[in-house]
Amino acid sequence: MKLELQRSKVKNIAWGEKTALLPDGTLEINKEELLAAAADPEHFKTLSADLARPGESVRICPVKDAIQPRYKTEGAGQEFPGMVSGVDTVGSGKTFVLDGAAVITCGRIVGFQEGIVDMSGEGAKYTPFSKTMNAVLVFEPADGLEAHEYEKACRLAGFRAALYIAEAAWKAGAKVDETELYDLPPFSESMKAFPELPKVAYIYMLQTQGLLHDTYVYGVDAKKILPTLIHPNETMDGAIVSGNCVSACDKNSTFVHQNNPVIRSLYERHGKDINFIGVIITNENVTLMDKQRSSSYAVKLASMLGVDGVVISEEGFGNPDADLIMNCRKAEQAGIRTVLITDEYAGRDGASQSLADATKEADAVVTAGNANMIVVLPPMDKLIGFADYTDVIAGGFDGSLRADGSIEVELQAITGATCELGFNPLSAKTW
Amino acid sequence: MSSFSYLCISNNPSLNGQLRSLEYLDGGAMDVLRAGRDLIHLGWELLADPLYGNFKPNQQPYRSLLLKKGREGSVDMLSLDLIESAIVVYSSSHRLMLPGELPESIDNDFRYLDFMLLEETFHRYSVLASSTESCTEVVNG
Repeated sequence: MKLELQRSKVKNIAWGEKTALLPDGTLEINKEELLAAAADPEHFKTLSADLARPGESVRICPVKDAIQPRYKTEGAGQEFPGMVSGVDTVGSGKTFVLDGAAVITCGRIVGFQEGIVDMSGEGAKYTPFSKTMNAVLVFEPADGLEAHEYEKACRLAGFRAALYIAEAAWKAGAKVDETELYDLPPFSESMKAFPELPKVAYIYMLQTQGLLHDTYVYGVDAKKILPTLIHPNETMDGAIVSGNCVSACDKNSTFVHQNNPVIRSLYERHGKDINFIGVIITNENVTLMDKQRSSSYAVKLASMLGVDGVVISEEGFGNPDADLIMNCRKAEQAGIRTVLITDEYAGRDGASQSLADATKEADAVVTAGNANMIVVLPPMDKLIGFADYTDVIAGGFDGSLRADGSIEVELQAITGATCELGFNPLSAKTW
Repeated sequence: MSSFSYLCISNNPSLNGQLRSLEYLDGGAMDVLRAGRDLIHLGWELLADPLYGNFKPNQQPYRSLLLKKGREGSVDMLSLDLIESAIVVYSSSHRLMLPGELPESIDNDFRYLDFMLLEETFHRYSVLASSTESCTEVVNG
């Protein structure tokens, strides 16, 4: 399966008469058309749109999802299959990418929801979405709308908006700045390729605990699946999307699924020091029987592929720690070496136990940061979203409001700060 | 103690009357975890992870555990590991959020989420009271 990403650099964002990517890199968006694409009057009492650029004194809160505008220009299917497009298999042909732009959805599904994106100041250092040119959609639900329905409506509106922007910009003649080819052959070929290199697969854990904690694959609720194989290119076309709104720092937004750094790294090292065989998706359910079944099944698939090693990435914390450790232990016991990617809840001083579960086989673990770390966010001139929500965070729920209007929060409140796919700015140095 | 093979222990008042076998605890999440640990030592087995939901102990005040009666005289080690790990997580929190501490609308949302996240498990083991069609209807109805 071959996929070419056609990247156009977005250097600015502005409202304008026609949605188009201008020669100077400005993404101009027709606001009325954008709102029409996202509209869902049955479910939204209000729907508004705003723009946020890097460096501005703007806070977006509570962020629900971030989505990269992409549009398939050649090949089967369309972005976000099973959500706002058909269910043809995606991942081949060509896909146009507005590189540097994001659609951010902002809606309060429940009262305690977190998700802060500051476009400047201390908080901006920790979220990848302070570096993107953002078109922000802000929703309020129709009266009496049930939380599941509201979450779904917000999710789909974001995909429609992102698809609208990318399609319109492409059709307006956007110039492609660079192309990237992603090509992973069928198993019959990859098994024979690079015999001197270790075969490596990726076990991609998806958050699937329930309302506000869900992930969808071609529109299917991933808590209902048995672990299965997915071609890495399918993820680049939005085959996996987020319905996960809780624990802002380590939820994988749709943008992150579209740009999974683990997949990109495995591709980069393919044929150099590893033979990248494929991707296994699995879930993180609440019921223990599901955990046992899914971990056994995911490892069985890896064994059937005959791989020497797997990279396993987690989403979330607590309950998924048990899945991570089960996946690790069972793989190691099957003779497959593991590298785990997680984040930590090691207390504000970093001294507490990092994960809720452990095993001696987990001897190669990459951390994306300590979600309990404290940061102080300065006041911003403008808030996109809901002021009462930041008061909730600041008013003692999970942080404290200071006299100067700054708020002290744990990193957990900041969108993408400790992303367990590595799509975050934190790193470590050794001396 | 329940004669039914399944038992839910919970400090979430939204579960009252909704399950076939519920032991409601008027206390904090840590009280629920400790009561669960006692039951595991008496041979009961957990059916869901006690750390369900991406919430820290200083966020979510409610906890519900669904257990199954196991073989008499035996202790399920997976259940024991999970409950002990959960107690460690709660013990190391800089503070614990208790029921009633949060503004009412937020407290209601947490009760709702607590119910919703176990909905699949409740259905799986057919422990919802026969009049309870779905958690969604109960909480919103």
